[in-house]
Amino acid sequence: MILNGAVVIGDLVFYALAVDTMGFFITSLIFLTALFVAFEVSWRWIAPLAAGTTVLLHFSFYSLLHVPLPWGWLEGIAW
Amino acid sequence: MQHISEAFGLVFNPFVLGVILASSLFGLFVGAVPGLTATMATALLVPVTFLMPPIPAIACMVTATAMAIFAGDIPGALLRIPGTPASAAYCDEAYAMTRNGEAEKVLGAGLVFSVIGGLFGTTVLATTAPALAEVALKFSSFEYFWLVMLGLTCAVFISPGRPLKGLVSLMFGLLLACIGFENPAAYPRFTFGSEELMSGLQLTPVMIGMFAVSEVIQFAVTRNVAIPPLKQNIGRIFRGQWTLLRQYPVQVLRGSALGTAIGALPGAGADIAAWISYAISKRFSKTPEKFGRGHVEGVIESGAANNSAMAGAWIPALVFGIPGDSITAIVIGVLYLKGMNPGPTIFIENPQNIYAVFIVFFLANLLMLPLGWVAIKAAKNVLQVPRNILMPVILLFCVVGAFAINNSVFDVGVMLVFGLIAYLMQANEFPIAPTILGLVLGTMLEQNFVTSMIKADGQLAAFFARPLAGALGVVTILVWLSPLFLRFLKRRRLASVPE
Repeated sequence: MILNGAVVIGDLVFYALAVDTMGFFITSLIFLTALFVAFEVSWRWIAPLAAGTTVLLHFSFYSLLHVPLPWGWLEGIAW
Repeated sequence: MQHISEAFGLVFNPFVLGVILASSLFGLFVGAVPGLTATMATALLVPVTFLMPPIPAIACMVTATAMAIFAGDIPGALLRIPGTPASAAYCDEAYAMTRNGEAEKVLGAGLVFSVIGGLFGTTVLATTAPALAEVALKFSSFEYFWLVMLGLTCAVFISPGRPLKGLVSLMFGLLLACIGFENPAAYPRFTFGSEELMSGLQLTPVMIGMFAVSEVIQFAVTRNVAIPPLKQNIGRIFRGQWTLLRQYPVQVLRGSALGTAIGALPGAGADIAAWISYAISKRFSKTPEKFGRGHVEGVIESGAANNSAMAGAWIPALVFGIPGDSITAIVIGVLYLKGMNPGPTIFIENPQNIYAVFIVFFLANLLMLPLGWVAIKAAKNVLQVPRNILMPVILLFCVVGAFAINNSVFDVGVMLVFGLIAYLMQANEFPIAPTILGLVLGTMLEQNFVTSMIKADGQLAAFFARPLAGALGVVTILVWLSPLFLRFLKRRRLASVPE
């Protein structure tokens, strides 16, 4: 069970280090997938949940609240 | 009078009312889901309220916390898992009532007396805060120094558990407040050459870390606690509540008054108010033997206390800028961001904003009656929300929220570090509230101390020269000495017992 705590912390460290290079979308997808796997969410749900949450958060913070979330590798398709 | 009508105009517009409704539902959800606390709700709302005008931003936080503190009763009564720490005090009692087939009665009592407690606290807030502000206008740096000192002292002495742990927690917070160069000498302290640390720690990432990330870590580590499915349906919860009010008027009044007072003391909030009220209710009850076996009396008194404490905590926050609990510590940060700097002058310069806050308080508590009913009816579904999906989503929200404050990844790191620290502190029974208070009030304490020393030309006696400052100083020192007195009294009582 301590292992799960380590996953949470490791995941956050990864996020802080990677988000500027890889961008919000890719980092968030990896971040959520890792946690869902660690918390034993059913396989069928992981991809749609991770994608849905990422898009929703991006929409509310980037589009509604105008927070400049980094695009990173996806700079080319930025909107 | 003109200010009051202006205040009504500020609150009763579609946007603010919409925000109130949305944050009510958010608060009820957060409160009802075990592992999500009212403080966490406030911390998560900071990035959302970032671009709002001041009144909806504050309305958002007031409603969400009021609803969350009530909603914490629901899983407490139905599953014996308190939804927020504020419901922990009477959780066993409420669950015992559910097992006796009185789920409707205890849930209804939780709701009705939460509303009464909340309205009581709000009335006290609306009447005493402006009066206190008049007095506070006469305060100089000496009085403020002692007031902050007294606040920090209360935070240590009222914290649950051993005062020594509270003191360690407070010192840690004060140490954190030293970081940066925003001190009277403008000398950079503990920055380790980091540019980001020059302006000190940002409050929001620290709060999100300590109150939200720590809970996610806690969940990850102890995930095997499954929530059992609910069997029974919940019927008419309001039946018999009028009789209860007639039966226990003293308890309702005592709980509300004590809750407001404890809320107003810095460092102690709804959870401590509920614990103390429950103990007092048992102590003065005509039937103390019934407590613990499903007796509604204690639930009524402490249920009223935790909601009134929430309003009480706003009294020192608005008048002096000294937070009454962790929630108002976060709110004060938001007030500064919105240019509504707390302090007595806000009552003169922007009275319409203050009245608007009071109106929001009343509105939130009245709205709790119908929405709380809906929440209880929906409890069966809400409690089954899969927390293994919810927690990762919250964590990503925390990350984006911490990032959004300054658009910097550094703050995400700060959030992570403080999440881990708060988790370790809680696991070892160190209270978190004193750390937050130390961090929030450290700068104020130092500024007032240095200003006073300059004014007094280095004479320490000047801290007792003004009557008000002297009185506050003496009270503070008496509180410091109280453990000595108590120990002395205990020893004398033991000695006087005949052998």
